[in-house]
Amino acid sequence: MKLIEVNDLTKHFGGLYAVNKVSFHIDEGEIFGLIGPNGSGKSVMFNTITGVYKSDGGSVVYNGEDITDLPPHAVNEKGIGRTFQGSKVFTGLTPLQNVMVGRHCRTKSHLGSAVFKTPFARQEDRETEEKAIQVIELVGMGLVERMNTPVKDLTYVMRSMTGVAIALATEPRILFLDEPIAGMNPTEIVQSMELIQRIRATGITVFLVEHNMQAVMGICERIMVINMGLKIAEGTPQEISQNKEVIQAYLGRAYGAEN
Amino acid sequence: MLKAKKWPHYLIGIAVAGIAPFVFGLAGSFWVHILFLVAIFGIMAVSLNLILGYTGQGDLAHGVLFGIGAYTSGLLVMRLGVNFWVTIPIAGIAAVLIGFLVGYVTLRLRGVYFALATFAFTQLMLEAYINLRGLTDGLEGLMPIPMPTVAGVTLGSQHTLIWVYIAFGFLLLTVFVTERIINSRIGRAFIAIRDDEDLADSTGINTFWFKMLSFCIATFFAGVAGALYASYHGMISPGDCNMMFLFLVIVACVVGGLGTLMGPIIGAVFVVVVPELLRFAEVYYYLIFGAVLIGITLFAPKGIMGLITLLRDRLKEKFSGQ
Repeated sequence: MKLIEVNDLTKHFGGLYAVNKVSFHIDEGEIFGLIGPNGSGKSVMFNTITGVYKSDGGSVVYNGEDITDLPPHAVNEKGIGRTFQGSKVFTGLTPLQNVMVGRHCRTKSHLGSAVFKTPFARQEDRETEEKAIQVIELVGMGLVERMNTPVKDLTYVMRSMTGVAIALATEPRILFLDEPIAGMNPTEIVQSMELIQRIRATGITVFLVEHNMQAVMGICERIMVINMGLKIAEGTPQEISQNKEVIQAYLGRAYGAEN
Repeated sequence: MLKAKKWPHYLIGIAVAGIAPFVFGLAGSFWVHILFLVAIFGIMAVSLNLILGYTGQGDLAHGVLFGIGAYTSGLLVMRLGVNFWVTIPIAGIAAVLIGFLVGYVTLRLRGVYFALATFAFTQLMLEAYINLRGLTDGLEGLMPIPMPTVAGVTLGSQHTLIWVYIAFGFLLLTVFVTERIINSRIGRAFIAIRDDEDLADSTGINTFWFKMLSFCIATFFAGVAGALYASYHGMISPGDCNMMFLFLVIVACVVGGLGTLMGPIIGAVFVVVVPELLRFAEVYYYLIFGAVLIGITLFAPKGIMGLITLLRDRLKEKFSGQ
């Protein structure tokens, strides 16, 4: 089932077309990869699909519904969760509290129940904390041991993983991961690949943007390649690695020759 | 931020609030008046802290919204003979109504631009207070505002002590509501917006409406503080709610400790008491006050509350290390 269908999506900044009439789809349950050289428009693509940027043309259909240009919080509520490049987290809170924030759109306590500390609010807060801990346990990667340490005292990688946990806490149907492996050592890279498999095993579709070729080729069922805002290829890792245009633009002759 | 047992703190707070006025009363009615001002600044600072310290928005309209509450209550009591106590919530609501309109327009802006927009609104309101003479009696101020009665006793100047207890009561209410909000789902959303608004947006939080919520809650208490001040003072003028007033409220928040519950109250004490202590310096008062502010910004950016927390943590380390 096509969970996401992007049609002729366009985003420009002045005369610079960061995303230029790009069309693709993501099937439910797959791990779909997006690669391209630096500056090719990958993060802009994420941002335009999730409503952080207003599109300049084209459409995004999610679960059969047109979600083009919906505000980010609405997109998240519909079931698209995302992380940001550069380990964005809520700096004044601990990882556990960060992930509890992630439960926001799936909980309901309002001002009245907060001020009067109703049984409903107390119960919901308890559940929020429990679910947050469950998500942190799913993520693993050393986050469980550090869930009560202020995030400002954590490493880049730990903050990155907190970001993943926050996105997972929003109960997404599809998770957009923006370069989650940046800054990781080889062990951590292997662990995060296992994490992505674990996430997919829970039924969440994964849309992965990454630079690390081994990771992307090893884990994604289908990959799209963009360069300078234009889609230049789409297919299986096998097909991509043998695509002449892709090799020329990005992968380099050595990798192409290996396969 | 979360999970501490709160009722011992409340007990201490109520005890202090109950005993301090009495003790100060023995020192003279002047010090009781000081306590009243501390309570008013306390309500203003604790509520501003909700927008500034917990939601991260540089609101500069808090002062004139205090004014809305003051003029609303003053006019109702003076011109329509409405019971003072009834005008308190009305003043709060009036402030919120205006605050809602201001916020609806300005909260679409971020950072400095939001601050500038609220500043522009402040100037607008001050002009309105000065020039709508038919309503506000302009620069001379609205007066005389009749004194309210409690159980048949008219609260005149010899009843300052009762006024202090009333003001402390509302301060306690402000702190109570703020504490409940901070430690709830709503509070977490506010803090998320403060720490990273874009991330909060993508995490399912409708940041615009939550900023509005924070703004409106804080504004309600500013209106209430205005009502209290107007009837205590017997008059209200544009000079009572101008930029200097707002500046002192902001100083109270920052010096006390932004983003903490008790910080603004410590800050309120600072802002009311330090100028009194510095009276001897006469002309040099501003110099010294300014130097103290710079010192705090440089050496204690987290305010007095930050220093207290640092001290407490160091002591904890020392005693658990042994």
